[in-house]
Amino acid sequence: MIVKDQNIFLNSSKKRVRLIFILGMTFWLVLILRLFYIQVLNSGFYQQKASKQTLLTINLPAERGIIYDRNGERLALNLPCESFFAVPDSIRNPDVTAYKLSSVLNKSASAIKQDFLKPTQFSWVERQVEKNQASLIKKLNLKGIYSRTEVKRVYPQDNLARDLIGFTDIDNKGLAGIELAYDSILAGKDGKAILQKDALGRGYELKPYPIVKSSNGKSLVLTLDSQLQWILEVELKKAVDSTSSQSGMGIFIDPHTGEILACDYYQPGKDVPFKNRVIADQLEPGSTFKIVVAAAALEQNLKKPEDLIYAEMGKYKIGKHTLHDVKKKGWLTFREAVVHSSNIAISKVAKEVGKDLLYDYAKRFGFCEPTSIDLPGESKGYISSPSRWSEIGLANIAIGQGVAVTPLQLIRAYAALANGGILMKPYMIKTILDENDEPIMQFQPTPVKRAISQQTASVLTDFLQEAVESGSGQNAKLSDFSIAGKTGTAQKAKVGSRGYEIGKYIASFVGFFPSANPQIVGLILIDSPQGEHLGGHVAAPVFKKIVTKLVSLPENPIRKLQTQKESFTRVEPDFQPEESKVGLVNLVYAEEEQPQPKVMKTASVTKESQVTTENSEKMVVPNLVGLTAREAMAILNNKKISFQFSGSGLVSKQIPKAGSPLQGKTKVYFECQNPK
Amino acid sequence: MKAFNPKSWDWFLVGSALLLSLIGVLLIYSAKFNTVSLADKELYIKQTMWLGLALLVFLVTKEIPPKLHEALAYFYYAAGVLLLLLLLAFGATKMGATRWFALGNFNLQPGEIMKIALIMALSRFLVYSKRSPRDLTWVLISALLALVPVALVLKQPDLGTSIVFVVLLFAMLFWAGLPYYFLLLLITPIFSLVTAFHWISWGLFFVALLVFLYHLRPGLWFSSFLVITNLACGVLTPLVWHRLHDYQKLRIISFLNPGNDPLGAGYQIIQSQVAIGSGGLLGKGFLHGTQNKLEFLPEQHTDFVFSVLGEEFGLVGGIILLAIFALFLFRAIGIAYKSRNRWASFAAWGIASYFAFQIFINLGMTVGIMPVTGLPLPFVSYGGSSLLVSWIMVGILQAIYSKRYEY
Repeated sequence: MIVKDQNIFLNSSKKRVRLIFILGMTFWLVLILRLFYIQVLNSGFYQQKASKQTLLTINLPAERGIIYDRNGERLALNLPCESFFAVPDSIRNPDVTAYKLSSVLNKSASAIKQDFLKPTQFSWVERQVEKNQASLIKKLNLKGIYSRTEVKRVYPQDNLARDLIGFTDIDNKGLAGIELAYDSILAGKDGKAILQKDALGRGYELKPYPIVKSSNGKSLVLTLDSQLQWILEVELKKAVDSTSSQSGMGIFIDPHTGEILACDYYQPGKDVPFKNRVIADQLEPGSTFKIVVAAAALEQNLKKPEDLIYAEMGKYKIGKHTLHDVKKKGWLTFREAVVHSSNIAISKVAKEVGKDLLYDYAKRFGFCEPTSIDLPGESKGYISSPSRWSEIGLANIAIGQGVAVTPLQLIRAYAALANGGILMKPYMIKTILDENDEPIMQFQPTPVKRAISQQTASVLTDFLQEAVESGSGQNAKLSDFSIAGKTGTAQKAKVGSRGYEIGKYIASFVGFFPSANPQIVGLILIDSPQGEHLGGHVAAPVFKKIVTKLVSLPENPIRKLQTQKESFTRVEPDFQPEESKVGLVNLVYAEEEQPQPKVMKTASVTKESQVTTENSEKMVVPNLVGLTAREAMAILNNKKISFQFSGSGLVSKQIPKAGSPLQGKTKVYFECQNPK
Repeated sequence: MKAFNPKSWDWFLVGSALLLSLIGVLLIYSAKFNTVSLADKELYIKQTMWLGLALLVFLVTKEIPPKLHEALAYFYYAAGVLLLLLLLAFGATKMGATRWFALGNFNLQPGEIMKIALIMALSRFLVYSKRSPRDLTWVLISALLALVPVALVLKQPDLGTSIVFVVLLFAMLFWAGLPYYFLLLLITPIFSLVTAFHWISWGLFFVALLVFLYHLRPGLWFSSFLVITNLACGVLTPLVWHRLHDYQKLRIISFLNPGNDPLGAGYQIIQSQVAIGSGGLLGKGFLHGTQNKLEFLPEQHTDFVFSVLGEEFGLVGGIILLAIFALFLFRAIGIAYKSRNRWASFAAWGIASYFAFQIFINLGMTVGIMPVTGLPLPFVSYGGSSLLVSWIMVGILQAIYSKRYEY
């Protein structure tokens, strides 16, 4: 059938095909342009969307470094614990779930439920839950509640040195103290693993992504001694509480190295401060500053210890102002002036020394400049330029008024006296350990400069020892061995304005012991004690108590310090230098000045000394009864006999008896009592 | 059987169709490469088997002389309509739609068969009717021929297929030489649909239509038909809207604003674009697409198969596929244009426009410029019925091609 003539529009067919062609081209062009738009112009956007959908980045948290004290005690460590989270969508009955959770957790059911109603896929219920609590929650077996292991930062030694160490937030980021200052070292670097997931969240590996391993944080070994720190914290708290003081501060350092051994700030009812008051606070030192004058006078040969100075019977007018002394004295030797802390005599000496020299010596002792301790937030202190000092200004500065120092600066100056005149840089971080506890950085003691000659230092030490024996610091006196120290009582300067707060004092005591070969320097500051306010009465006893406790520890830090220094100082050279032991003491000094190749040499020297001093007692248990505890320990140490003891004071009993033969590992027990 | 004569083959047509089918198998293989389910993993094997069957059917179809189809066109049409009626009575219902007869393992979709039948019937009617630009009764009858299956398919309901019928009607009328302004007038019910959401906009539109009709004077019947359909559209649309399935409403709404419901109906559109967009210029490489592998993309092997290609082969792959489709369509239209037999010309044209529409709608949907209608991509998408019908059409085209010089 041919029906050609029925097509009345035949002539238009060519045109129509052309139209179709153009239309088709247009459609195809539209599709290609659209493809170009999403695949080329916007491909970044869509790629991002795609990887957001398909890639799951898992954080591999780095473990935070541990903080050790000098003896390897852990002050901050990590504890794995459970954290619970909810996936709100998969919770069947939010009310019941929340109620059950609230029965275990310290949270109200309604608060928990509120989290369930959030339009999220993830919501923390409770983080870092205690172990038994965690197991209780797990027993509930709740749908939609899951747990994951997190690491919690804990401070196991009952928050020992909390101010210093600081703390972290719940995500283990340092917020204060060493945790903050050394956060970058402690934190390590988180790693990450990238997983692919499908639309239902199941993991897939179409393409392997390299895992970025986490590198754990580095650990810190502090110079801190936790035993001493603990004693300091306890005693400081007692002292502050019993005197109803505003606050108290204490620092102990090793004078030879500048290591901070203990450091505490206590203020009743106050939580952990964000700044370290010991290095940040600036205060008037009071009489403890007098050593600057004394050192200058001695060093410049302006005064000899026995030179006489008239102390004006306790009242001395300089211009309109009057200086007072607590004890009214007439003629004093220079030594006595320091020992009794006579304001008048010292200010007279200061006048002789002169403004510029005094300023110069203050600087020599490291005042008015930062100590460069390895902690942030240090203050520098303040002493005005000597050209601006009036006559009374000079006198005031000489007795520690009108100057501002940090407690750390003050103790460092005394450490310089104790170590023979060298100003050390104080430090807190002893060693940085890598992940495998291998030391990667060890910090060495850094001498800053010589403040005074060794001779001046020893004369001043002698003065300070007498100050404790018979002068202002008598309350720090111990029967067992000698302490050198200086008391201070400063009027409390007003904060933010000139002048002083009436009736408020800062009582202080700086001391070191044993004075013949000082191992520890300590500073105690009590702010605004009620009632008795003199440094000698308030601060010195605290120092004494701390030292007493310290030396009666079975493993007291002093001995540890010495072992750690690996120098031959196992024998305490402080107790009454009897004839027989003088040689030994000298030997000790000699050894210290020229560092010997460690242990081997030490051991041989020890043997020699034993031969020379205690030859006859070599093979038997020595007699300890009647000796001080320290003496007994020294003897036993020297003979390398292990021992255990109780009490303090003089040895009253010993097992085995003196003269018993010494076998390989005999352990000696002895008991001490304070003489009545 | 005649001796094999390579010159009687349209190699570009058959070759491009075969190429597209093979690309389809590869894409299905890739799309289900990572699936856990073994049955899903082997979908590409199933598709290959379907392709084998389709090629067989093609070889048979291409031997059937077009004149036989021409003779049987109304019979096909009647059979198709009957099947659709039977379907409404006895068909299997899945997801709220009754689209196929379950014949053992094979699902027979009368809608697919109706597409071919409608093309043939419309061709026959248009070839033998007296087509005058003054008397438009033939247009009305053509419209009626199309609207019967449209109504039946809408009842299933299958919006996509019914739109295909309407498009086929327009394409055939276009090929029959209906002046453009009449075609425009025929589209007016769609404007009616759109404006009907507010009575003021629809009122304005309706007044404009009346003015236009008065000016053109296309005859009483035609005019009254238009007025009635426009009135019906305007009045019924709000009513029909409420009768639509929720998923259909959502598809329309989410097409208009996919961000509105990113996890619901807009999800497919967004995910498809994410897959394609993330492919970039050159793609992620065969089997390396993440979006289609990781099941972010629903229906990645059927309606959204193009997004697998876009993701793994990028813009370049997309353009190549479009080029192959263009070649295929170009050949098909060429057959319609060159065929001396009028019926054959109409039928070829109908088939070409059917493919063109399906391809454009499907691709437009995957790239987010067309609504989600559920139309598969011919040759490429997974699905036996669609592949079979496509290859039957290729067979018809090939038969017409080999007899293109016969009147």
